[in-house]
Amino acid sequence: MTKPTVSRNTPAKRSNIDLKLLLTAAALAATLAGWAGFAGEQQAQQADTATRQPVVVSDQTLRYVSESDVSWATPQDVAVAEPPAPITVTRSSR
Amino acid sequence: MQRQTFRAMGSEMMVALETTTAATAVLAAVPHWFAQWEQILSRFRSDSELTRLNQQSGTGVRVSSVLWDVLQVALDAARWSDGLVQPTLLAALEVAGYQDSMEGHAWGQEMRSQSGERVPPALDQWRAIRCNPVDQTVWLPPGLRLDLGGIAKGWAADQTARRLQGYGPVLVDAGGDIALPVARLHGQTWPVGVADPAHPDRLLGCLCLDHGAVASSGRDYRRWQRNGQWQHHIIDPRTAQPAQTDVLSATVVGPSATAAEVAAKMVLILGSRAGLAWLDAHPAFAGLLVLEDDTIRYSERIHTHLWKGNTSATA
Repeated sequence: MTKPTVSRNTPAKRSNIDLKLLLTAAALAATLAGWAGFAGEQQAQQADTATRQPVVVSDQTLRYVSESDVSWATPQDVAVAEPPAPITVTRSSR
Repeated sequence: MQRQTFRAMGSEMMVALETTTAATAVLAAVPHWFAQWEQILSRFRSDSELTRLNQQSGTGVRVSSVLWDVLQVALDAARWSDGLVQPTLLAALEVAGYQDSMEGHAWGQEMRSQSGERVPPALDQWRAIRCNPVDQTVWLPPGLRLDLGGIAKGWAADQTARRLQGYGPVLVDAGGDIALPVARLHGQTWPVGVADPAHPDRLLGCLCLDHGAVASSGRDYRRWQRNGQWQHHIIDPRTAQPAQTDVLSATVVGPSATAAEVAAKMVLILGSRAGLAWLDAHPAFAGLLVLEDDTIRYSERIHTHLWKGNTSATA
């Protein structure tokens, strides 16, 4: 009479399965971590880009840029010089 | 800067001398120079040397060195402007109604002409004047009389500037004809305002000149009515009548006050189109014109003299 085969989890088999589970979990964790890192980097990049975007201002706003806002500018570049006071005036004789 | 202001030749005069040395005495002498010149050159004074010359047309008359010099400058201007600016238009001026100096009187009123006859065109009339440089005698054709008004002011400005420039940089303003023959100290320019003929209290702009001269000619002030029609003092010798032109006033930068004065008058007579073309064709000159419709036209080179929003503009 044939002895029925009973399948059992042997210790060797069990350790094999545990290893696979561990590897799967690690892979999943790495993937999740990767996504999280990528998303974080994206967020950081978006924030960085936002600070570099030119700010659209009207001409009126530009008129009020002060010297302290433009540290590289000399005072002559910023201030609008007054016309010189004429010593005399030319006109048809009177 | 030391200044002297006074009135002469029917106009406001001003001298500015940039010097640290005492120049009070020489500045005080300037009004006397102008008084002497006016006594020689005025057509409004019955006892002036010019009036005596005019009364002796048809006869050779020996003249003073001042009258000789100014007449030679006037004849040079006639030659140079092809007769457009010349000293022989007194009869036409009087027919138009300008017989009195109007000193102390308001312009713009009705003025009657004592001589109602129309004067014929006089473009070449100046060629008939004979001058002998050996003894400085002048012969005017019978009936011809001279007016040296505008030329005399330019000449006086140049002459005064020449006499004073040894004391330091000088500016002489003879009723709007301005001579500034030498550059100022420390690289500064001479700032000269340009009056708006439509609003005399306002400036159209500011010229920053290194040296040279500037003068204005206009029909905005010395004008009057005759038989209800507006007349002015700038006669076109081609018609012997007040110039019909779209230019209300012309301001010209040039090498001397006399040259700038003659060029400004010529540009006004020519009109804006031909006048600007003339200025652009002559490198020693530049100008800006105010037209009858209140628009302003600029010659090409005037932008090198106009103040542009900084203090370093140079001629």
